[in-house]
Amino acid sequence: MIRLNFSTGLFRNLPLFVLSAVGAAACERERTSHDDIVKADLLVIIDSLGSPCGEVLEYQNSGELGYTIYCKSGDEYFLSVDPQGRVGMEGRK
Amino acid sequence: MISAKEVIKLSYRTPLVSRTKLACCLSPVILMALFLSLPVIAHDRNAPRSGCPPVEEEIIDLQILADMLANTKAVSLFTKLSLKKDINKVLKRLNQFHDGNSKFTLEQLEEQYNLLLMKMAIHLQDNDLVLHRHLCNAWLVIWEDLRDFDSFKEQHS
Repeated sequence: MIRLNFSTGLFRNLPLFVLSAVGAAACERERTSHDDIVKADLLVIIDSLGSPCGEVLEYQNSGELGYTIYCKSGDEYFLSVDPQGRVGMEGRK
Repeated sequence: MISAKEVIKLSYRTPLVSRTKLACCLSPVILMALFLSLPVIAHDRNAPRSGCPPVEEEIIDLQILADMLANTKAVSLFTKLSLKKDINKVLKRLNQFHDGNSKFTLEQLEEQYNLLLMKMAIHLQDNDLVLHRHLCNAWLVIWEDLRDFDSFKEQHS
């Protein structure tokens, strides 16, 4: 039979871990920058459209709802929304 | 009556001085026309969603749109959960903005909101045309409510 010894090792520090985690969650303040949020969202959009990218290295906001995106894979995309609200993307290597 | 051809011929025969005078007279008119076209250029900001197919009843709340998204068969469960998480994040950031406790500007929040709706639109535009139509029409209406302090607090407090 396996006996768990709560007085040593990880278990001894468990309450401290739990308290730290709860404290950190309570004090959580978003550290992500706007730039990182946009890059992450653009990557999700490119993935959803089934195109390769890897990582968004850089982007240019070319007007309302239009982006030129430069990917780590070497691909370059132009993302836009048409008047009917459809999201479209054109790409070139 | 003078025909169009004759007008063209006459304009070629007009002396250079007269043509210069004509250009001087027309330039303020051209400048005025350019000036008047500026509001059209500014209005182009809304162009991406200006051709939305009409809907009987417009959605005016992001939460209603989220509920409709939760009920559609066009989006997988994983994507629904991911989008729901994103919606909550945007609402949380807007709440912080309206409380004067945000590190993002309103323009940045608008961009984040637009990207969120783009993520939704991708999944709907080929699979649930009715909901996509609702999303297209609600795009600007919802943002106007979110950016307004009173409307936001009324709907999300």
